[in-house]
This record gives sequence, C-alpha cells and structure tokens, in this order.
Amino acid sequence: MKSDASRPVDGDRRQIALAQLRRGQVATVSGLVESAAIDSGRDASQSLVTRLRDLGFVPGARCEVVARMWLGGDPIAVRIGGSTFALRRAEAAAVRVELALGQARDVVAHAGSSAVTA
Amino acid sequence: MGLDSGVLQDLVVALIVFGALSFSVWKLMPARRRLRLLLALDAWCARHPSMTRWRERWLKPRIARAAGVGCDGCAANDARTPHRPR
Amino acid sequence: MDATVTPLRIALVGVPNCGKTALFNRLTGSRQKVANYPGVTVERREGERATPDGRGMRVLDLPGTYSLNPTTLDEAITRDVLLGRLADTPAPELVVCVVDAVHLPIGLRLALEVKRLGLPMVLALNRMDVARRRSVHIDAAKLSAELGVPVVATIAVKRGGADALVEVIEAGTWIAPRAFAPALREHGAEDAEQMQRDMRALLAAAGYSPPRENPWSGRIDALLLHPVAGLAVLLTVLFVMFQAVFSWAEAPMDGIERAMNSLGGFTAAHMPAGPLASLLVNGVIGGAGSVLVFLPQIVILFFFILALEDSGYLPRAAYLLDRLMGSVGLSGRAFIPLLSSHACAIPGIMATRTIPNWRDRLTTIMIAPLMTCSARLPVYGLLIAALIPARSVGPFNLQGLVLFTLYAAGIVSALLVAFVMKQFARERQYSPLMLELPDFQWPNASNLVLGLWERVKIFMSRVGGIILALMIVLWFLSSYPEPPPGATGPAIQYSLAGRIGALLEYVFAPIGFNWQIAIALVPGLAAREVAVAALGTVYAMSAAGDDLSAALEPVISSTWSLATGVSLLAWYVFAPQCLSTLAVVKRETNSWRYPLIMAGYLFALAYLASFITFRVVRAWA
Repeated sequence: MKSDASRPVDGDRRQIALAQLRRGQVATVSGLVESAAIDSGRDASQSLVTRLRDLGFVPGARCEVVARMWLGGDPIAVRIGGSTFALRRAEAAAVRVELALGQARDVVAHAGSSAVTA
Repeated sequence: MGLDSGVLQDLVVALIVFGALSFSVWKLMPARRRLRLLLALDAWCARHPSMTRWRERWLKPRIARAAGVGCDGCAANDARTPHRPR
Repeated sequence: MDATVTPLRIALVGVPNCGKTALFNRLTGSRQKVANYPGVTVERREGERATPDGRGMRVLDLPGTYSLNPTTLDEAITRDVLLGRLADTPAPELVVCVVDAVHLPIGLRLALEVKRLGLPMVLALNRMDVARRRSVHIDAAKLSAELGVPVVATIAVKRGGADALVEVIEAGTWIAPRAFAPALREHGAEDAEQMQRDMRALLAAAGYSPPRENPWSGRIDALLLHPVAGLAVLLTVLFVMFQAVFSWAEAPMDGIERAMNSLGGFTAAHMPAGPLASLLVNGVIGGAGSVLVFLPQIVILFFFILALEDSGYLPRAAYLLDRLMGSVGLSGRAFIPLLSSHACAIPGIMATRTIPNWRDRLTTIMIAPLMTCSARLPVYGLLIAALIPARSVGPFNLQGLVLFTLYAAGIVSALLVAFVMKQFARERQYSPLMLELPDFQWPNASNLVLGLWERVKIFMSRVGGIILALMIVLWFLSSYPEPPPGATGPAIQYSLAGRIGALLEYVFAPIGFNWQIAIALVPGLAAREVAVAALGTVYAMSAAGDDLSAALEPVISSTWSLATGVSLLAWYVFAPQCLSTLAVVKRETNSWRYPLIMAGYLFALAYLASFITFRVVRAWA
C-alpha cells in the first residue's frame, strides 16, 4: 500500500510528516513509516520506528510542536502524552500525522526524504 | 621535647616519607592489582582467626568497595562491563 | 535466623526521569546524586536495607530504559540483568517497576513488558503528590486488580515516602516465582500494537485522566528552546557561571591563603629547624595547602553544574546544540556525557554508555578529556591570578574572560578533533537523538547541599590523601641528596628531583617551561591539581634564606614571563595529566589501543599548542 505523501489523501485531512509541522501546531498521529532519511539500512530504520512507538507515538495520540530549530527544524521539540521529546528531522519524518481541525493549515513544504510506507 | 634531637627528627621524617610512599603506590596501582592484593590479604587473614574482627570491620568493606561501583573522585571502579559496546 | 540465607535481591526498573534513583536512595539510605536526565544513572548501583526478619534486602538500581528492546548499552544492561544473562549479577528475585504517576502511559507500557518476563513484580506509583496537584486521577486498587500485581503509591522525595512499598515487600504477598518465559524475543509491530492496546485498557480501567498542563512550563520552554533566544540564554548562563567562579570565590580564597601562610609561619617559628620542619612547611603546607586554596572555586563551579542538572535544563541545552554537534559527527546524546566531563572526565566517559552507536561513543570518549574538568581549575586559577591583571574589560572581569576562553578552547578543540575523527569513519551510521526533555523543577535545595557536600568531601580527601602523599614524596626527592658544603643556589637543585628537572628541562625548554614546571609535571601525571601542589612545594624549597612562608602566587607572578604562563595554560588545555582517566578509557573500550592513542594525541597537541603559544606571546609581548 503506497501513498504519495505530498498529495491530499482525502479532501480536508492531509497526511503529512511530523517534521513538517510549524511551531504551535497540534496534530494527531496516524502512523509510522520507515524514513529513507536514515540511510543506514532497514535495521536502523526499524528500530527507530519501534522506539518511537515505545515513546508514545501511536495512532490516535495528540501531539504539539513546541519548538523548531532553525535551518529546517532539526531538531524539533514535540509534546506528546504529557512528555516532551527532542527529535531530529529524520526521526520526525517517520511519524505521519493529521493536522487537527481548526488551525491554519500552512505547513513546511515537504523537504528532504521521500518515504516508503511500512 | 626530644624534637631537637636530630636522630629523632630523621626517624620521624623517614616514617612519614615511607608512609606517604606506600600510600601513593597503593593509590596509583591499577585497580585490579589492588583488588588482588586485598583478596590475598583476606585469604591470609582467614588462616589467622585472631584477625577475624579486623578483617570483618576493615578489610571486607574495602574489598566490596574495590570490587563494586562508584566514583570516589578517581576510577576505583572495577565494574565488570559485560560486553564490548556494539 | 539462618545466617546463610542470602538477602532478597530486588531490582528497580523504570523509564528515565521517573524518580527511580530517588526511590533507591529512600530505600537504601545512601546519598547519591539524583539527576534529572539519562546518562548519570549508568552504573549498577546497589544498596542494602535491613528487614525485621533479619534476611535483609539488596536493591539494584538499574539504568533507566524506555523499553526492553535496547538501543543503548545501558538499556542493554538493564535487559540483561532482568534476564539473568550477566554472569556476575543473578536475576533479581523481585522487580520493583517504578512508574511516574504524572507520565503513566509510558511507564505502564514498560511495566507490561517487564511483566511478560514472568518475574515477581510490584509496581511503585511514584510522584503521586505531583500527580494529584496536576489533577491526575488513578485508581491504584483497580489498576492492581487489572494488572495482577501489587500497586503501591510512593513519594520518593519525602521522608517515609517509601514506607508503604517496604511494607508490601516485607509482607511477601507479591506473586510467587514461576518459570519465566524463554528468551525475550524482540517484539515486532503486532506485539507492540497489542501492548499499546493493553496499556490503554489498563488506563481506562484505572480511571486515568491525563495531567493538567502547566502553562508556565510552556512559556519557559518557548524561551529556552527558541533558536535565537535559547542560545542567548545558554551563553549567558555559561558566562555568568565563569564570572562567578572568580568573583564570588575571591574573598574565601584570600581567607584560606592567609590561613595557610600564617600556619606555615607559625610552624616554622615554633619548630626547631631541621628536616621535620621543612617537611611540614614546604611539603605539607606549601604543597597540599596550595591546592586547598581553590576549594571555594570548586564549590561554586559545582553549585552551578548541580543546579542546572537538577532543574532539567541540560537536555534543553543538548537540543539547542544538537545541530552543532551533528555537524562534527557527534550524537546529540554526546552532550550530556561531555557536560559531565566538565566536572570530571571519568563519569563523563562512563556516561557514554547511553550512546547507541559505537563509533559515536568512541569519538565522545576520545574527546571527553578535552572538556575542562574541575581538576584543571586550580591550575587555571593559579596561573590566571598570578599573571593576568584583575582589570575590567567593559562590564566583564578580564580574569573571568580568560577562564571562559580556556573553557571555550577545550570545547572548540574537542569539536575539531571530532570532526577529524569523522573523516576517518568508513560507514556513516545514523545516531538518533530522541531525547526526553523532562519537566522543569526548582533545584531541590537539600539535593544541592548534599551534592555540594559530597564534592567537598571528595576534594578534601584528594588533598588530604594522594596529593599530600605525593607532596611528601616530592619533598623527600627534592631534599636529598643534600647539597655539598659550600654550594650556592637553593638546595633543591642538587637533589634528585632537581637533577631530573634539569634533564627534563631540555625537553620542555622549547615551550618555555622552566625546571620547576618540569618537575611539577611528573607527579602531576597522577592528577591535574597535583601540579599546583608540586609547584608550591618546589618553590617553597627554592626560596632563598628563611622565606619559608612565601605564597606561591606572588612568586610565580614575579618570576615567570607571561609567555611561560600562557604556554603552561595551553599545555593544560590538552595534556592528559590524569592516569585515572586513561585507566577508565581502557576499561570502557576493552583495549589498550585507545588509551594509548588518546595519551599520544593529547600530549602531541599539548606540546604543539604550548610551542605556538609560547613563541607567539613572547614575540608579541
């Protein structure tokens, strides 16, 4: 099952990467994908996904971007499940989210990795 | 006091220097060798029951500390890291 | 009472920052540092506690981990201990899973993983006081019923906060051991999903409601994590720290110095002249006393380090600097071990066990000694006070500025070395960040005081121990053989130490070191601050006539050239004058190769830096 990450999946709700959210935006996690930005093999990618899941990045979880570093948001600080985590862009690219309704929907253009759905 | 006596002074100084030298050697010794010395001392004490109380109170805690974990300002640490880092 | 029954083996498991170490301290009564971030609780910390039935319990504080699927070495240690895989550490008989009530989901998920191991288990619900304040509702009884293990509320930071837990442990009502599951298999996506579902079911059954957000922490984070303002705050904090180390310490240092001087004068006046008087005044007071003077600076430095650790600020600094570290090939997680290295490289090197990638870990280990450790402070303090005028440059104090520069030099050179090492790396392995930024808290005053007191004790025991001993030995080597009758010049030049110094001077002359420095560097290999003591002893013994109580600083200030002093500073930025550090590197890397490489490259850099500095300053001054 493949999906092109830059095209809207259905109407209003777009699936985008966590890495694309701007500061202050709130979203709901919809899934995890292996990020090709981590160019050291499937193993590293897999364990990254497992670890993200263990930290609470599971479908349905609400998250908010607390801060973004300059130069493309590497790293970003994300608040999820009552805890705050610092993630690099490649790690945040592995998290698929849906923007919560009622927010301005401008996000960072999809820069960098093309993702393959796991 | 007898401190005017040159011989006494020399003796005291020699004792102090000897003590300082032994202490330095002990402290600067590699941790494993220190542990081995302590264990050898422990084995020797085991053969002399009169030393038991000293052994329990002084020697054993020192062995535990030498074999255990912790950083008392220097690496007296003999933590047996189980495997090579991957 | 059977004396051969072994104490009950208990292990504490939990995610990082759940208060596990505080609970450990509460249970065992030992005073250990409670830091707010992963990387400090790396060692297997074991403590004991007596029980009424006489059996006693032995508690093991395992490294914090988010999952039993490890990504770092210390997490692997936790898993291995629980599975009984470590030859010298038998599997625990009881596992106390510590869960932070404020962050229940993440801790509960780990608890479910631990439960699958089949070991007897008790769940300690920690920080219930904070949870209540943040309007978290948890029905512990229902949770216990659903989970199938006893659940006990604990408040680790309060006295008596672990009493309920101890009661449950002693009552022995936790499930009796049964054969546990075969080798834990890495859980795949389906298992993980299942555990998430189980965890959510548990939360629902316990009537869990998530914590109320604290509006202030959001606002503070907006500032501290801001790309520009955040870095500005970080630089300011560091700056204030270094200025304070000089300005706040001035008065107490003067006091100690005067005390040492009068003690020396008193001893010299009231003792018959002879070797004993010389030993006491030159070796003991002149030597060890010279280092003692720097106690206030060390206390102030650690005050800042401990306060920053306790408050939870440090991972945020790691976040800000991650890009910079990544550009030289370092993991963002290297920040915390490298910061610990500013206290002492040894725990810093041990803390690198939290770095998952071997190449990254090795790089971090190799550059850790370049971080200005607290033992360098007496050396820097002495040289700066003796040679740098106490002027103001704008709002800043020049001496504090120079100290800041030395610290910065250490960091910059570390980054450069890391960059060079990166060029040699064959594969480019990805190293994750995924760092938790814990909630803020005001540094706990009693933690701070305890931590400072420990540091003072460590310092005093070093001064009264190895430094004193080495100074006595040095005094001996500097006094004998005695000068032939009718000899001119200070006696020390005829002694064994003096002759060795004269030989070494050939090696060190190109970089501007005189023979006194050359001698001092030899015992200085044991520990960095020993060089200060050694200079104190050597100069005390070189003092002409009866000037036995001359303090070290004025002597240096009047007899050394600026070039020599700055050259020695440059030497100390790099030189590995600490055998213990090399020993730990050998232990952590399991080979002789790396400590030898480390010693080699650091001494080479030191010589080069000293050479350049000496020539440049001499030409310019």
